[in-house]
Formats: sequence, structure tokens, C-alpha cells
Amino acid sequence: MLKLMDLEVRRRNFTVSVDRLELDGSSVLLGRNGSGKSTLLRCIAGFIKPSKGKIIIDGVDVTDTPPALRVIGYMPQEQVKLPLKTSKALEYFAKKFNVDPSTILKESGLDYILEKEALSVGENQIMNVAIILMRRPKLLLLDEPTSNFDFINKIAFCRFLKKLSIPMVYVTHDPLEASLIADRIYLMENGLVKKSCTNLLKEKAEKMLEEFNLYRLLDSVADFPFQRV
Amino acid sequence: MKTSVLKTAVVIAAFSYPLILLTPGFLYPGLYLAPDPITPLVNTVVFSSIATVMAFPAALILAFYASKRGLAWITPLLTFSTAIPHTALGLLLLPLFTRLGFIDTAPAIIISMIVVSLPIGIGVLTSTFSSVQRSLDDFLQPLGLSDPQIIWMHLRAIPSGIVVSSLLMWLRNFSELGVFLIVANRPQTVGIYLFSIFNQGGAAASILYAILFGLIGLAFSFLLYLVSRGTRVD
Repeated sequence: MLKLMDLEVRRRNFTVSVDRLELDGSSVLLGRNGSGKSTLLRCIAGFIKPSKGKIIIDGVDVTDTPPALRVIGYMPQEQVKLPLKTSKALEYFAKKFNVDPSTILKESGLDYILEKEALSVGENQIMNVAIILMRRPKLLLLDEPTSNFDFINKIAFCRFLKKLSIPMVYVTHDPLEASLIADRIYLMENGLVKKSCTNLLKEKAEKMLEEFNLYRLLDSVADFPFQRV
Repeated sequence: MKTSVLKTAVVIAAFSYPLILLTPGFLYPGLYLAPDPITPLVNTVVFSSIATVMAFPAALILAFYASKRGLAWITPLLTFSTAIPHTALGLLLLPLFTRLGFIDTAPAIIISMIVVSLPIGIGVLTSTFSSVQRSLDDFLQPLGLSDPQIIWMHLRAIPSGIVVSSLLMWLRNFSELGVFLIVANRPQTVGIYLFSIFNQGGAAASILYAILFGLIGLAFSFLLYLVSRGTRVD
């Protein structure tokens, strides 16, 4: 689906290099702050021109193609707040992409948001993904999309993404999030993809989420693992 | 304690500035109102409005590309005229206007106003666009939106910024004198009118109008303050 060949991205005092990488399904770029994962994602999106190498999406070389023509969806790190009301925003993009928004919203389990005036950060981000999906992108690029979410919103968003049957590259520094979403995890360090592995922790991560969801546990469980005061 | 003394001093200074400018004029002996201030006033309002309507879209597009598409380097090319005396600007326009037969005509006034207000508009709009989060642009570009569509989205995010910048451009046009002294003494605009009644009747004939324009400026400044107070960038 996504092929990176001999790619090099130069930034001030920093270089991101990828010899050869083929990404399919849900791929997570996991790495600490400053490891180069966001730079690599912005390069795949077309915001940064690589100094060498090729980016191939769905068999097409898009290295010199502007972001608008790559048929991708990009979710930046910073929360995107569209300057339109929810219903107006969906109406606008549905008209632009000539789709029926209700189908997308139903698929995303978001039909209820049309009635809402104000959305929570999680709902807003899910709505943005729904807008991206209206374009029927070939690839979804998500740059730490849950970085300012609370736990509940984070879980809701990750579960929403898991339901999508679209290839995606997801950037995060959170191993739990990575294990929850990824089919395959790529570890980045100092601008290089150091290691990769198939994610065998998906189910375990789901279980862990349940186990550590104190919000739900404290609300519903009587005495396990906590004792009521 | 120190902060509050400074704060008081700031408030006193703020009140003193317009008072020092606007009140001593009344002490001048033999003040009178020269005739027909209306025609130059109407001329200036009309020409300022036309020039603003013409210059604003250009300022908008230039500012967007300067702040959001990596063309920040074009800004000095478009704003350098703010750093030179406007009489010099008039002298720079003079050969062109003479060639076109525009001297002392409405087109000379409108073009001159566009020349002086465009840099102001670009400067204000560039910083207004810069205040919109980059993530909005990053999100919209891959969706395949064209630049005009992205500009429209940005404008929806900064409605007060748009009002403030267009108002500032209009005010810059309204207050212009230097260029008109060289290329357009007629049709008469307020700056030229004040200058000519001062030349003919001295300070006594012109000071009251200067105070009047000062008060109009004060009113517009408060209007700007109120509009920009409502500026909110999401």
C-alpha cells in the first residue's frame, strides 16, 4: 500500500532516513519525542519534500505530488477545530465530495453528532476522521491524534479507528496506544526505523484497557479491585 | 505595589495623549470654521471605500501566501513603502501618473490610496493568518481543497481580524496627505483641504477641523478596539 524507498528527509541538524519500508494495514510509528516520526509522516503527507528517495502510495509515485492530490487523509497533532458548526461542516464536505454524509456517519457510529452544537475533543476528532473518510482516501495518516485527550476519549477514538478498514499510519509515543491499534509496529529512534514487529498484544491491550479503566470500574464495580470507602 | 503604580501611570499616560493633542487647540485665539468641509469629507470617504474594496482582496491573497505558503520573503517587497515619506511615494508615482494623464484626478487618488493601504493590509492580515493554527491548513490541504477554498475556511476562523484589517486600511486611506500633495490636489480630500485652509486662513481657520478629525479618529480607534476585542482564533 505505502512504500518508502531510500527516503531521506533533511531538517535543521536532523535527518530522517528510511532504506526500504512497505506499510499496510494499521501501521504504528512508535518513538519518543524527537525521534523523527512526525517528520516522516509530514513527508508522506507531502508537506515536506524529501531530499532523496521515493514515496509510493497504492502503486503510484507521489514523491513530487502536492498533498491535495495524494488522495490521503492527514490528521495533525494539534486539534483541528473547523470554523463551521458540526452540521454545516459535514454538509460542506459532503457536498464537496459528493457523498451522503449519513452513510459515513452511520458507519462511524456518529449519527448522533448532527444534533449536537458543541462536540467534545474526542467527538470533534472523530468527526474530522469522518470528514476525511468522505473523500475515500487511499491512506490515513494520523499524527498523535489523541495527544490531548482524556482516557475515555482516547479509548473511544482508538476503538473507532480499529473499526475502520482503511490502511493507516499512526504516529504515537504511547506503547499502549500502539498495541491497541497496530497490526505492525515500527520503532523509530534518531530518525531511523530501528525495528519492526507484528503486534501480538492487541487483545491483551484491550483487556488492559478494561482492567485500568478506573472511570468505569469505580462507577460500576463494588469491591474489585477497589474497596469502597 | 510597584506594578499598580506603573499601571496607574499607564492609564494617566493613555488619557493624557488625546487630551494633550485635542485640547490646546481650543486656546488658540480667533478660531473659526472655514466653509465647505463636506465635499472633501465625502470625497475622502468615497475614495477610501473604493480603494479599500479594491485593495483588500489583493492584501488578503498576498497575506495568505506570505503566511501559509512559505512566501514570507515577499513581504518586504510589498511593505517597503511604509518606511519612506509619503511625499517621496508621491514623487515615485508622479512620472507614471503624468504619463497616464491621472494628475489631479480620482484615479490618482484611488491608486495612491491602494498603494499606501496595501502594505498595512498585508502586514495586519499576515499576522492574523499566522494566528490561525497550522493544523487547520494541514488538515484541509490533503482533503483536496483548493487554495481559495482554504482561504475561505481561514476567513471564517478570523472574522474580527478581517473587519479590523479592512477598517485599518480604510483609515489609512482616509488619513493620507503626503502622496496627494504631489499627485492629486483635486478632487479635494480632507488632508489637502486642511492643508489649503491652513495656507489661506492660517491656524485659526483650520484648527477646529483638526480637532474634529482628531475626535473622528478617536471614535474609529474605539471602534477598532471593540471589534478586535471580539477577535477569537480557534
